[in-house]
Amino acid sequence: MLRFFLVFVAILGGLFLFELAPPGQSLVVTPWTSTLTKLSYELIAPFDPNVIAHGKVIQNRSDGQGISIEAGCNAIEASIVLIAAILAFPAPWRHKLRGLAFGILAVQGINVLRVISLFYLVQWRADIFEFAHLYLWQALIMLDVLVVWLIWIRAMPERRMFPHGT
Amino acid sequence: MGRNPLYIFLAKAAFWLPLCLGLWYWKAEWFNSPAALVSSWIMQGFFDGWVESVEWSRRTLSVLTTLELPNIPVPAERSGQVGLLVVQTNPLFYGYGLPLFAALLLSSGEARRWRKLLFGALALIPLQSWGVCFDILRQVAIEAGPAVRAQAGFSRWQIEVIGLGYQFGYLILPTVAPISLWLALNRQFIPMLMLEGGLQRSEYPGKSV
Repeated sequence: MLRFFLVFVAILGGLFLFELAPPGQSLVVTPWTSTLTKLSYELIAPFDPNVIAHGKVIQNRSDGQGISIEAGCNAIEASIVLIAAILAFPAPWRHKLRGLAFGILAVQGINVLRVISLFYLVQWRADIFEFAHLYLWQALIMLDVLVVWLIWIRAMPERRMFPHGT
Repeated sequence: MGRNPLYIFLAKAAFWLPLCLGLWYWKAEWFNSPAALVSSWIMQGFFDGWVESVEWSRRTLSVLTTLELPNIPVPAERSGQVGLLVVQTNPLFYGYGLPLFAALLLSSGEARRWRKLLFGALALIPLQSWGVCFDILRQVAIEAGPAVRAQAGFSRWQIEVIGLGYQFGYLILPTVAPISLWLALNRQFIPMLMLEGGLQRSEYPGKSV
């Protein structure tokens, strides 16, 4: 457990530093935030003709209200936590790679739901937007990370679980 | 689906998380007071050169400083007086780990959960204070401008550390700390989950569980 925690913290710290550094920002954060904005827009647009998107902003054309996807809202930190947790846990590499692929997809999928829900919440119920944005969704995204990681652990191949044939 | 302990845990967490978060948000001034108090001690203890006093009310921690703000227009009747920097922060931004931790603990049906809850709540206070203090320092060292920064006496590398500490306290600590704490206090959960998953697969080989 201690070894897992130390490796987890080391990987988490390394990835977090890379994310904050200029190469991480230009290679990962900015392109991904832009892609997330476009993806959210593409999912909303068929049902809502008033929506427009530019840069990292999704807006309602008629009243100008909208959201800007900032650091902490693009689920990159949540993905980093999941990557660190999967890489730090002793498991076969094939299982790790499968966990990373499906896990990141699950976290980002939930985050698209967060972005879309917050876009409408700021227009319909601005009074509870702060609670949903800063606290509820932040906790839900991390709960998603935890559940994905636990599902991955539960699906661990038997040989890794019982290394001595017990 | 009903047999899977993970689904049961998830269903319980979906129930407890909004409940714990709602209670924590409703009584925010009460739940966040310990971290506000610790933060004010830290700021007054380590930065007594420019921290005049710290006030905590209505979910806002206000730090009154002796740092002078340049280029503040002063009315004629107050000529000779200067504007002083007041920094404000919301400790709730860094404190939602407590309801998340409580929800996880209540969802996993552990023994001695109230004792663990109390221990966890105490352990999370310094981590929340980390976020609060680095937010105050960030505002002084980075946002308030070069004149204020020079008065506070922050060097280049200290500013980098403050920026990094703030990002870590805002983006990582509030969510990773409660989950790590919950796992540390509930060590049998992971082996139990692996064992249960393995048994389930051996019982129904070839079937996805």
